[in-house]
Amino acid sequence: MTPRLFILIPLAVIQLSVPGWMIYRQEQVLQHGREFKFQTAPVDPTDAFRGRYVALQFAVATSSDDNTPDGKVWVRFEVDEKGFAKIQEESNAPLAGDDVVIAARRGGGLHFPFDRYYMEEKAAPEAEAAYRDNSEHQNAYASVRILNGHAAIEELYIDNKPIREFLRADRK
Amino acid sequence: MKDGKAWLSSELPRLLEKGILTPEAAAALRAYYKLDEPGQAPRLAVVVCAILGSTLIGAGIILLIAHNWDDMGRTARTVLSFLPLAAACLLTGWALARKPPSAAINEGGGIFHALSIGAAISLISQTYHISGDFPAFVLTWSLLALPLVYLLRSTSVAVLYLIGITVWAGSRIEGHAEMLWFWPLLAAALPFYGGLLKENRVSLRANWLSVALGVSVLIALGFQCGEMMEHTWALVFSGYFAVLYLAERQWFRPESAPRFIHPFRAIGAGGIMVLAITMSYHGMWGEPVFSWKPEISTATYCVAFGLSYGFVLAAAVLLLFCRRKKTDFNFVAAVLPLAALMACLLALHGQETAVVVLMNGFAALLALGTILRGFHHNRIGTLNAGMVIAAALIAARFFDSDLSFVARGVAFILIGAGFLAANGILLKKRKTA
Repeated sequence: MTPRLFILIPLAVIQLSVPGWMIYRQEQVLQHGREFKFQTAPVDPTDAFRGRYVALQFAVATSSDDNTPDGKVWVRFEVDEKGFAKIQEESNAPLAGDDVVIAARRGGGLHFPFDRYYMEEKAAPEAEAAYRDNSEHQNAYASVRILNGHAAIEELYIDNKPIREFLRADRK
Repeated sequence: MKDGKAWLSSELPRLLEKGILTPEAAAALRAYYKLDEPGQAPRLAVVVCAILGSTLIGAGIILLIAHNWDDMGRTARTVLSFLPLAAACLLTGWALARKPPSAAINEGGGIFHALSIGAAISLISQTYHISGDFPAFVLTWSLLALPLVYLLRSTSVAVLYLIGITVWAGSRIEGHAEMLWFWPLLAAALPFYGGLLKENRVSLRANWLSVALGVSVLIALGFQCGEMMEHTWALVFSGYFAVLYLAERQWFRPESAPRFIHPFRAIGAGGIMVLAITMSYHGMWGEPVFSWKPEISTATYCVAFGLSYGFVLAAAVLLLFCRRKKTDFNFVAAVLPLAALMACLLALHGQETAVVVLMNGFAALLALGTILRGFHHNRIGTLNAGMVIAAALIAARFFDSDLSFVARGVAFILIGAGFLAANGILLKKRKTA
């Protein structure tokens, strides 16, 4: 075995462990995270669809706190009377818990790490159209699992049906 | 030369047949011109095909996997996302175990491996709907691919790495201090480049990496100046171009192929020409006030200044070095940083008119110097480069002045006539020589 082959082994382990770590983290969030429903907001039509995913916008994405400077923010959520997620507090210092997400604050808007819903390239445009129509009537929401600052989208719902089911019913 | 060899190879049997050459003479010719040795060309073609082929195959596999999202469960998709990278690791292992190593397999396999790293990360991101942070993605990808450069000695992966870190620097442009990490990242690829230069500084592989290096530093300097040195960018760039130009004159002139234009010369000399004309505009020198951005720390400014003005200093050192070594170079072109420095100092003191006069004078001198160099060395390319500078300078001044159409027309006719006359004189000189 040449010395170069010996170097390849740890390198391959490191290279494979990066996507592996991403999977582990997301699986942890999906399995142990607390579920929140995020009501979507009407979207700018030109901005919503980027080919392979539906760009999600949320009703809670406007920062409530004008004093927080731009940059990394920790956002704690609570559930409102309709069962949707609502911001409880925003902080520039780390917060912990199964209701905290690390977001980016830019010009009064909050950007959550779960604003893309990837789909197959044929289904994505249909999904985007359905999402756009239903967001206007506040009929769409994303179910998101949250754990210690990380978040994972579980499903996108339109009219209380998972998006794929909704599209199948819509096609009939 | 290669065509000549091919021609000779095809002619030899006929010459033998007709009895013009004896078999011994034909064999001696074959040995002298090394006709039986495999040439560089087929091997190069194989390497290029390997790079193209593996890029296409890699992209194809990724597209195939990326398509069938909705029919598969999360676990199946996850496993499938790993497949290209796992296969690439095995392929790299096979390439490393091969004896003797093959450049085509190393380059092609390296590209495939590097692409599959990015593919695995982005496919997992899609499976889990991770919006992710683009700069972090590009940086992770580049850093994970970097060891392949050294492991496989792959130039194509090195080029991909340089593209990766340049894109990263561009995406972190508001992160001032963070953007400066571009330089250490660049330095991580330099030992490989150094190795290539040591092997053969004008080889095709070294040249490709020179192109990537020259362009990537140019772009990174642009990002840096745009954010932190808006008013002295011309000085920084003049230093960079002069360094490239002088380095090419001193170290990269292939004796075997005098007509070959090295990437450093193309970027350096081309940049000097464009910059000399750009700096002669009045509009370039408005508002010379230095604006310090409060969000950028003093330390960041210091490092950025060091890394940018360092090129000006390096140009000065290199200029003195080339003078001592009696290297042949265009002196006016090489002192562009000095002219730019004077211009910046004058502009800081509000002497806009003086700056414009200085820079127009400099551009005219550059044109004249280049034309004379063309005559002196009997080189039409250099002569015409000088004429282009002169024409560009005159055209530029005509468009921002209020001269009548008649005056402009006459001037252009004169420039055109000068062009033709200069070329004619040089051609005649060649003929008589």
